[in-house]
Amino acid sequence: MTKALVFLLAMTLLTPSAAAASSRRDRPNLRYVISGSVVLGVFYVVPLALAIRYEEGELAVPVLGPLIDLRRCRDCTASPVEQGVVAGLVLDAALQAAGAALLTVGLVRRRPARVSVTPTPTGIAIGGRF
Amino acid sequence: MLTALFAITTLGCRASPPPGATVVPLPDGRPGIGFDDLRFSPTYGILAPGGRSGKLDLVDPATLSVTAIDSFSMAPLYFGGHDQGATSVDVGGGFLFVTDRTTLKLAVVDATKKQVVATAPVSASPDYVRYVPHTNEVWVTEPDASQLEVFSLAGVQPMHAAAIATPGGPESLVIDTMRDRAYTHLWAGATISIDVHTRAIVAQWSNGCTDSRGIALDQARGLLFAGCAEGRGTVADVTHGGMPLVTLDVPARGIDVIDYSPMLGHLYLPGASNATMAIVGVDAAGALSLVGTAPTVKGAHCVAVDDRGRAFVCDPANGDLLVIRDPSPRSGG
Repeated sequence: MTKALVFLLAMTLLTPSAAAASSRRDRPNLRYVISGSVVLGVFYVVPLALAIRYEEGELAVPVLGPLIDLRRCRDCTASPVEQGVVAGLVLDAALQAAGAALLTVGLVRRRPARVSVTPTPTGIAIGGRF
Repeated sequence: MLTALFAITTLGCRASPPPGATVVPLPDGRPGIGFDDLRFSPTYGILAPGGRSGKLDLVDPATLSVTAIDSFSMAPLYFGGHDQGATSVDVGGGFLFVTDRTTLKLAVVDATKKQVVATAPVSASPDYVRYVPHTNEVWVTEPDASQLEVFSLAGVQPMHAAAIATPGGPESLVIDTMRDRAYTHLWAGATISIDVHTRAIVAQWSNGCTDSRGIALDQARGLLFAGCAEGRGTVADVTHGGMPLVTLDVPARGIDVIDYSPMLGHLYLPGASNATMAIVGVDAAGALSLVGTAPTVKGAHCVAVDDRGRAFVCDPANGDLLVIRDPSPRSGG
């Protein structure tokens, strides 16, 4: 039994290149994913609440909802209040789009995760960017 | 954030229509209509300026079908109140006169073609519009400027003709074509009478309200009714300089726009705060008595009565009209 363990250890030490081989795994870019989710969520939840409150289904459509709602706008810029409403809807749609874009970028442009396993005198070390 | 969302989604939630009421949904009524003025015309039916919806809705009392004149400013969101789009209407000379609070314009609508044929800017945010047949003028109340703006009609085109200062008002407006007078309230419990020819204020009297709101007229009998926001109806005799006749406290709170049925001798006072409309009988001497109440919905602050004994009550949160049949027999006179 002891001999077998010594053999395995010796094999391990003798083949460091194999043990230290780096493996590449793609992971979502969490920074983009989190910031995109937050921006999209915050600027989606307000029109969503309005959609529930006023039974305006179109406002519940992510990103495009506020712009679709603008179909009910005629002479809207005649009143400062309505100007503000229009600006708010457009801004909200733009911010939702920005959040969605960040989220998409974070999910699509994955970050390479480099992991290395290296033997050490006391065992092995695992390192890399996660 | 969560509190705000909770408030947005729960405050002012839609109420179910009261039992027994027929609901007339108006085109593009959702997400709500900031109703204000409602009128009845024997020719055109119930006239309902559709506020945010961008429409003036004509409801046929016989079939309850709706014809929309789609020519006014339209807004995507509804935040309550009645500051969006068309909010007041009157009929005269084959035309409909409509004021739009978003564009700050008076529009003349060809009632046959159902098209806007002329517009004119108003000096301040318009509240009520009324046609004065004997002078062929259109009068518009502008409370923010404490004035009535008078437009003369050159053909169909309204032209600014004068402004009548009404300090402390004006609130509501009714034209007395038998006496050539216009009556409007001052906010703090008074009513004034204006000669439509000279445009001079010829009388003022206390109307018995703490907070004056709606106005209605029994022209034949010379009885002028006031609806008080605090929950009261009052009568003045305009044939005797506005002599107060009687006041009646009613179980309606938050009264605003009122109406009177000459056919039934009933005065209708919807209370927006407690979702109750008081129906008040007016006897031969002008005395008032409560003949009934009808449940409405919260925010229902305006009413127009047709010639079939039915009251059309606005339901702003749903963008509907509620049709409530008045079961009470004719009162007095």
